[in-house]
Amino acid sequence: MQGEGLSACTDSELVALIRSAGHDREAAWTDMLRRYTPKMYAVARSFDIDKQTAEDLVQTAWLRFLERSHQLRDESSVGSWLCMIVRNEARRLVTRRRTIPTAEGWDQRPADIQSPAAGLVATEQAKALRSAFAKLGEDCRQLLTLVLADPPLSYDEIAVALDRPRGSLGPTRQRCLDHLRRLLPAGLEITE
Amino acid sequence: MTDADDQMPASDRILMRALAQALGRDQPPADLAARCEGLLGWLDVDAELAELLDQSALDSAGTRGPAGSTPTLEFTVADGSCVIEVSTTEGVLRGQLLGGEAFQVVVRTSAGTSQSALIDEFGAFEISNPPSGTVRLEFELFDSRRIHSDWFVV
Repeated sequence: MQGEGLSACTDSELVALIRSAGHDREAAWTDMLRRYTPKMYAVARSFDIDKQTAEDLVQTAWLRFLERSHQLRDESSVGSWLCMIVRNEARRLVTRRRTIPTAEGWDQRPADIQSPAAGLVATEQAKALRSAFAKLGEDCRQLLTLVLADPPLSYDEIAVALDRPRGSLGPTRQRCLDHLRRLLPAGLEITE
Repeated sequence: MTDADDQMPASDRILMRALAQALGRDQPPADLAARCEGLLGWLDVDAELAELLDQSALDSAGTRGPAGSTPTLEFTVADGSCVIEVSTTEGVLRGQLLGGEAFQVVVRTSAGTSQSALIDEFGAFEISNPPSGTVRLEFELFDSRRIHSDWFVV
Protein backbone atom coordinates (compact mmCIF):
# COMPACT_ATOMS: atom_id res chain seq x y z
CA MET A 1 0.00 0.00 0.00
CA GLN A 2 1.43 3.36 -0.98
CA GLY A 3 1.60 6.13 1.61
CA GLU A 4 -0.12 8.70 -0.60
CA GLY A 5 -3.16 6.45 -0.91
CA LEU A 6 -3.87 6.13 2.80
CA SER A 7 -6.59 8.77 2.90
CA ALA A 8 -8.86 6.20 1.29
CA CYS A 9 -8.10 3.65 4.03
CA THR A 10 -10.74 2.72 6.55
CA ASP A 11 -10.09 3.42 10.22
CA SER A 12 -9.53 -0.29 10.81
CA GLU A 13 -6.86 -0.38 8.10
CA LEU A 14 -5.09 2.65 9.55
CA VAL A 15 -5.10 1.18 13.06
CA ALA A 16 -3.66 -2.08 11.69
CA LEU A 17 -0.88 -0.18 9.87
CA ILE A 18 0.00 1.82 12.98
CA ARG A 19 0.20 -1.38 15.04
CA SER A 20 2.24 -3.19 12.41
CA ALA A 21 5.33 -0.95 12.65
CA GLY A 22 5.77 -1.43 8.90
CA HIS A 23 6.95 1.18 6.40
CA ASP A 24 3.46 2.74 6.09
CA ARG A 25 3.17 3.24 9.80
CA GLU A 26 4.14 6.92 9.89
CA ALA A 27 1.88 7.78 6.95
CA ALA A 28 -1.01 5.96 8.63
CA TRP A 29 -0.33 7.81 11.87
CA THR A 30 -0.31 11.17 10.05
CA ASP A 31 -3.59 10.35 8.35
CA MET A 32 -5.19 9.24 11.61
CA LEU A 33 -4.09 12.49 13.29
CA ARG A 34 -5.59 14.62 10.53
CA ARG A 35 -8.80 12.60 10.61
CA TYR A 36 -9.54 12.88 14.32
CA THR A 37 -7.55 15.70 15.95
CA PRO A 38 -10.16 18.40 15.15
CA LYS A 39 -12.97 16.23 16.54
CA MET A 40 -11.04 15.43 19.72
CA TYR A 41 -10.26 19.11 20.18
CA ALA A 42 -13.97 19.94 19.83
CA VAL A 43 -14.83 17.37 22.52
CA ALA A 44 -12.21 18.83 24.88
CA ARG A 45 -13.40 22.40 24.29
CA SER A 46 -17.03 21.36 24.89
CA PHE A 47 -16.06 20.88 28.54
CA ASP A 48 -15.53 24.65 28.76
CA ILE A 49 -11.76 24.17 28.84
CA ASP A 50 -9.21 26.71 27.61
CA LYS A 51 -7.39 26.18 24.32
CA GLN A 52 -4.00 25.17 25.76
CA THR A 53 -5.49 22.57 28.10
CA ALA A 54 -7.63 21.27 25.23
CA GLU A 55 -4.43 20.72 23.22
CA ASP A 56 -2.88 18.87 26.18
CA LEU A 57 -5.93 16.62 26.39
CA VAL A 58 -5.74 15.84 22.68
CA GLN A 59 -2.05 14.92 22.99
CA THR A 60 -2.76 12.78 26.04
CA ALA A 61 -5.53 10.93 24.21
CA TRP A 62 -3.28 10.24 21.21
CA LEU A 63 -0.52 8.92 23.48
CA ARG A 64 -3.08 6.73 25.24
CA PHE A 65 -4.17 5.45 21.82
CA LEU A 66 -0.60 4.52 20.89
CA GLU A 67 -0.10 2.51 24.05
CA ARG A 68 -3.53 0.95 24.26
CA SER A 69 -4.75 0.50 20.69
CA HIS A 70 -4.50 -3.27 21.22
CA GLN A 71 -7.41 -2.90 23.66
CA LEU A 72 -9.73 -1.71 20.89
CA ARG A 73 -12.39 -4.36 20.35
CA ASP A 74 -13.68 -2.80 17.13
CA GLU A 75 -11.13 -0.80 15.15
CA SER A 76 -13.87 0.77 13.03
CA SER A 77 -15.12 2.60 16.13
CA VAL A 78 -11.76 4.22 16.86
CA GLY A 79 -13.30 7.72 16.47
CA SER A 80 -15.77 7.09 19.29
CA TRP A 81 -13.00 5.48 21.37
CA LEU A 82 -10.79 8.56 20.98
CA CYS A 83 -13.70 10.86 21.91
CA MET A 84 -14.27 8.71 25.00
CA ILE A 85 -10.63 9.07 26.08
CA VAL A 86 -10.81 12.85 25.72
CA ARG A 87 -14.10 12.89 27.64
CA ASN A 88 -12.70 10.80 30.49
CA GLU A 89 -9.51 12.87 30.72
CA ALA A 90 -11.46 16.15 30.59
CA ARG A 91 -13.72 14.99 33.41
CA ARG A 92 -10.77 13.78 35.44
CA LEU A 93 -8.99 17.07 34.95
CA VAL A 94 -11.85 19.38 35.85
CA THR A 95 -12.50 17.24 38.92
CA ARG A 96 -8.86 17.31 39.97
CA ARG A 97 -7.84 20.83 39.07
CA ARG A 98 -10.11 23.50 40.42
CA THR A 99 -7.88 26.17 38.93
CA ILE A 100 -8.04 24.87 35.38
CA PRO A 101 -8.53 27.85 33.06
CA THR A 102 -11.98 27.99 31.52
CA ALA A 103 -12.71 28.85 27.94
CA GLU A 104 -13.09 32.48 26.98
CA GLY A 105 -16.65 33.83 27.39
CA TRP A 106 -19.05 33.34 24.51
CA ASP A 107 -19.39 37.09 24.19
CA GLN A 108 -15.66 37.31 23.44
CA ARG A 109 -15.72 34.90 20.52
CA PRO A 110 -15.89 36.52 17.09
CA ALA A 111 -19.03 35.70 15.13
CA ASP A 112 -18.66 33.99 11.77
CA ILE A 113 -20.79 36.34 9.69
CA GLN A 114 -20.14 35.56 6.03
CA SER A 115 -21.90 38.47 4.42
CA PRO A 116 -20.77 42.00 5.29
CA ALA A 117 -23.89 43.21 3.50
CA ALA A 118 -25.97 41.65 6.23
CA GLY A 119 -24.53 44.37 8.45
CA LEU A 120 -26.20 45.57 11.58
CA VAL A 121 -29.09 43.10 11.57
CA ALA A 122 -26.76 40.11 11.44
CA THR A 123 -24.51 41.59 14.10
CA GLU A 124 -27.43 42.26 16.44
CA GLN A 125 -28.82 38.78 15.81
CA ALA A 126 -25.44 37.21 16.56
CA LYS A 127 -25.16 39.23 19.75
CA ALA A 128 -28.62 38.14 20.90
CA LEU A 129 -27.91 34.51 20.08
CA ARG A 130 -24.57 34.52 21.94
CA SER A 131 -26.19 36.13 24.95
CA ALA A 132 -29.04 33.58 24.99
CA PHE A 133 -26.60 30.71 24.45
CA ALA A 134 -24.53 31.82 27.44
CA LYS A 135 -27.65 31.57 29.62
CA LEU A 136 -28.37 27.98 28.64
CA GLY A 137 -27.48 25.20 31.07
CA GLU A 138 -24.09 23.54 30.78
CA ASP A 139 -25.60 20.35 29.29
CA CYS A 140 -27.36 22.24 26.49
CA ARG A 141 -24.30 24.35 25.70
CA GLN A 142 -22.13 21.25 25.47
CA LEU A 143 -24.57 19.36 23.27
CA LEU A 144 -25.12 22.26 20.86
CA THR A 145 -21.39 22.99 20.71
CA LEU A 146 -20.73 19.39 19.68
CA VAL A 147 -23.58 19.30 17.17
CA LEU A 148 -22.20 22.47 15.56
CA ALA A 149 -18.58 21.32 15.54
CA ASP A 150 -16.70 21.68 12.27
CA PRO A 151 -15.74 19.12 10.99
CA PRO A 152 -18.95 17.45 12.18
CA LEU A 153 -18.89 14.66 14.73
CA SER A 154 -21.07 11.62 14.09
CA TYR A 155 -23.97 11.11 16.46
CA ASP A 156 -22.16 8.06 17.85
CA GLU A 157 -19.14 10.25 18.65
CA ILE A 158 -21.33 12.91 20.26
CA ALA A 159 -23.14 10.27 22.32
CA VAL A 160 -19.82 8.94 23.60
CA ALA A 161 -18.47 12.44 24.28
CA LEU A 162 -21.54 13.24 26.37
CA ASP A 163 -21.82 9.72 27.85
CA ARG A 164 -25.47 9.59 26.83
CA PRO A 165 -27.54 7.17 24.75
CA ARG A 166 -27.53 8.08 21.07
CA GLY A 167 -31.33 8.02 20.99
CA SER A 168 -31.56 10.76 23.59
CA LEU A 169 -29.61 13.29 21.53
CA GLY A 170 -32.37 14.34 19.14
CA PRO A 171 -35.00 15.03 21.83
CA THR A 172 -32.40 16.78 24.00
CA ARG A 173 -31.29 18.97 21.11
CA GLN A 174 -34.94 19.88 20.47
CA ARG A 175 -35.42 20.80 24.12
CA CYS A 176 -32.25 22.91 24.09
CA LEU A 177 -33.29 24.78 20.94
CA ASP A 178 -36.72 25.46 22.44
CA HIS A 179 -35.04 26.82 25.55
CA LEU A 180 -32.71 28.95 23.42
CA ARG A 181 -35.71 30.47 21.60
CA ARG A 182 -37.32 31.42 24.91
CA LEU A 183 -34.14 33.22 25.93
CA LEU A 184 -34.08 35.38 22.79
CA PRO A 185 -35.54 38.91 22.85
CA ALA A 186 -39.26 38.92 22.12
CA GLY A 187 -40.04 39.57 18.47
CA LEU A 188 -36.56 38.72 17.18
CA GLU A 189 -36.91 36.85 13.93
CA ILE A 190 -33.98 34.56 13.24
CA THR A 191 -32.71 34.59 9.67
CA GLU A 192 -29.77 32.83 8.05
CA MET B 1 -23.78 19.71 11.48
CA THR B 2 -24.31 15.98 11.84
CA ASP B 3 -25.79 12.99 10.07
CA ALA B 4 -29.36 13.29 11.42
CA ASP B 5 -29.95 16.92 10.53
CA ASP B 6 -32.08 16.21 7.50
CA GLN B 7 -34.84 15.12 9.90
CA MET B 8 -34.75 18.47 11.69
CA PRO B 9 -37.63 20.96 11.24
CA ALA B 10 -36.73 23.86 8.96
CA SER B 11 -37.10 26.40 11.79
CA ASP B 12 -34.60 24.45 13.90
CA ARG B 13 -32.20 24.17 10.99
CA ILE B 14 -32.32 27.94 10.48
CA LEU B 15 -31.76 28.53 14.19
CA MET B 16 -28.82 26.11 14.25
CA ARG B 17 -27.17 27.78 11.25
CA ALA B 18 -27.67 31.22 12.76
CA LEU B 19 -26.24 29.96 16.06
CA ALA B 20 -23.22 28.49 14.27
CA GLN B 21 -22.54 31.87 12.67
CA ALA B 22 -23.08 33.71 15.94
CA LEU B 23 -20.69 31.49 17.90
CA GLY B 24 -18.04 31.45 15.20
CA ARG B 25 -15.69 28.60 14.43
CA ASP B 26 -13.62 27.11 17.22
CA GLN B 27 -10.92 25.35 15.26
CA PRO B 28 -7.80 23.77 16.75
CA PRO B 29 -4.48 25.43 15.88
CA ALA B 30 -3.67 24.61 12.27
CA ASP B 31 -0.46 22.84 13.26
CA LEU B 32 -1.82 20.76 16.15
CA ALA B 33 -2.10 17.54 14.15
CA ALA B 34 1.40 18.09 12.74
CA ARG B 35 2.79 18.72 16.24
CA CYS B 36 1.30 15.40 17.36
CA GLU B 37 3.22 13.46 14.69
CA GLY B 38 6.30 13.23 16.91
CA LEU B 39 4.30 11.48 19.64
CA LEU B 40 4.81 8.21 17.78
CA GLY B 41 8.38 8.24 19.06
CA TRP B 42 7.21 7.90 22.67
CA LEU B 43 5.92 4.38 22.18
CA ASP B 44 8.25 2.25 24.33
CA VAL B 45 7.37 -1.41 24.06
CA ASP B 46 10.22 -2.46 26.35
CA ALA B 47 8.85 -0.69 29.41
CA GLU B 48 5.92 -1.99 31.46
CA LEU B 49 2.90 0.28 31.27
CA ALA B 50 1.23 1.24 34.54
CA GLU B 51 -2.31 1.99 33.41
CA LEU B 52 -4.45 4.65 34.97
CA LEU B 53 -7.25 2.94 36.84
CA ASP B 54 -10.75 3.83 35.76
CA GLN B 55 -12.03 6.18 38.40
CA SER B 56 -15.67 6.00 37.46
CA ALA B 57 -16.70 7.84 40.60
CA LEU B 58 -14.67 10.80 39.46
CA ASP B 59 -15.63 10.37 35.84
CA SER B 60 -19.32 10.45 36.60
CA ALA B 61 -19.01 13.68 38.54
CA GLY B 62 -18.04 15.77 35.54
CA THR B 63 -17.75 18.88 37.67
CA ARG B 64 -14.99 20.84 39.27
CA GLY B 65 -14.00 19.42 42.64
CA PRO B 66 -14.76 21.06 45.93
CA ALA B 67 -12.22 23.39 47.51
CA GLY B 68 -9.27 21.54 48.98
CA SER B 69 -10.04 18.27 47.26
CA THR B 70 -7.00 16.31 46.11
CA PRO B 71 -8.15 13.26 44.18
CA THR B 72 -5.41 10.70 43.70
CA LEU B 73 -4.56 9.13 40.39
CA GLU B 74 -3.71 5.47 40.66
CA PHE B 75 -1.74 3.54 38.05
CA THR B 76 -1.07 -0.19 38.08
CA VAL B 77 0.95 -2.60 35.92
CA ALA B 78 -0.83 -5.48 34.21
CA ASP B 79 0.04 -8.13 36.82
CA GLY B 80 -0.83 -5.81 39.71
CA SER B 81 2.66 -6.15 41.22
CA CYS B 82 3.35 -2.42 41.17
CA VAL B 83 1.13 0.55 41.90
CA ILE B 84 1.82 4.28 41.53
CA GLU B 85 -0.26 6.85 43.37
CA VAL B 86 -0.10 10.53 42.43
CA SER B 87 -1.77 13.72 43.53
CA THR B 88 -1.06 17.34 42.67
CA THR B 89 -1.81 20.20 45.01
CA GLU B 90 -0.62 23.77 45.12
CA GLY B 91 2.19 23.27 42.66
CA VAL B 92 3.57 20.09 44.23
CA LEU B 93 3.29 16.64 42.70
CA ARG B 94 3.30 13.99 45.44
CA GLY B 95 3.33 10.28 44.87
CA GLN B 96 4.24 6.85 46.07
CA LEU B 97 5.57 3.77 44.34
CA LEU B 98 4.18 0.59 45.89
CA GLY B 99 5.36 -2.95 45.16
CA GLY B 100 8.73 -1.97 43.73
CA GLU B 101 11.91 -0.19 44.73
CA ALA B 102 13.56 2.56 42.72
CA PHE B 103 16.14 5.26 43.32
CA GLN B 104 14.35 8.07 41.51
CA VAL B 105 11.29 9.06 39.53
CA VAL B 106 11.44 11.01 36.30
CA VAL B 107 8.55 13.23 35.17
CA ARG B 108 8.75 13.32 31.38
CA THR B 109 6.73 15.74 29.26
CA SER B 110 5.49 14.92 25.78
CA ALA B 111 7.73 17.77 24.59
CA GLY B 112 10.77 15.81 25.81
CA THR B 113 11.77 17.79 28.90
CA SER B 114 12.12 16.03 32.23
CA GLN B 115 12.46 16.60 35.95
CA SER B 116 13.53 14.02 38.51
CA ALA B 117 13.25 13.47 42.24
CA LEU B 118 14.60 10.97 44.72
CA ILE B 119 12.35 8.29 46.18
CA ASP B 120 12.53 7.65 49.93
CA GLU B 121 12.62 4.28 51.69
CA PHE B 122 8.81 4.18 51.77
CA GLY B 123 8.52 4.73 48.03
CA ALA B 124 7.32 8.31 48.45
CA PHE B 125 8.42 11.18 46.24
CA GLU B 126 7.66 14.87 45.90
CA ILE B 127 8.30 17.27 43.04
CA SER B 128 7.86 21.01 43.47
CA ASN B 129 6.77 23.02 40.45
CA PRO B 130 6.38 20.00 38.18
CA PRO B 131 6.20 20.62 34.44
CA SER B 132 2.69 21.34 33.19
CA GLY B 133 0.96 19.74 30.25
CA THR B 134 1.06 16.10 29.20
CA VAL B 135 3.45 14.04 31.33
CA ARG B 136 4.23 10.50 32.42
CA LEU B 137 6.23 9.09 35.33
CA GLU B 138 9.19 6.81 34.64
CA PHE B 139 10.88 4.42 37.07
CA GLU B 140 13.84 2.07 36.81
CA LEU B 141 13.40 -0.50 39.54
CA PHE B 142 16.32 -2.10 41.40
CA ASP B 143 15.31 -5.44 39.81
CA SER B 144 15.91 -3.89 36.34
CA ARG B 145 12.24 -3.54 35.43
CA ARG B 146 11.34 -0.26 33.68
CA ILE B 147 7.89 1.09 34.41
CA HIS B 148 6.11 4.04 32.80
CA SER B 149 2.79 5.42 33.90
CA ASP B 150 0.08 6.28 31.41
CA TRP B 151 0.36 9.83 30.11
CA PHE B 152 -1.78 12.30 32.01
CA VAL B 153 -2.31 16.07 32.20
CA VAL B 154 -0.82 18.06 35.07
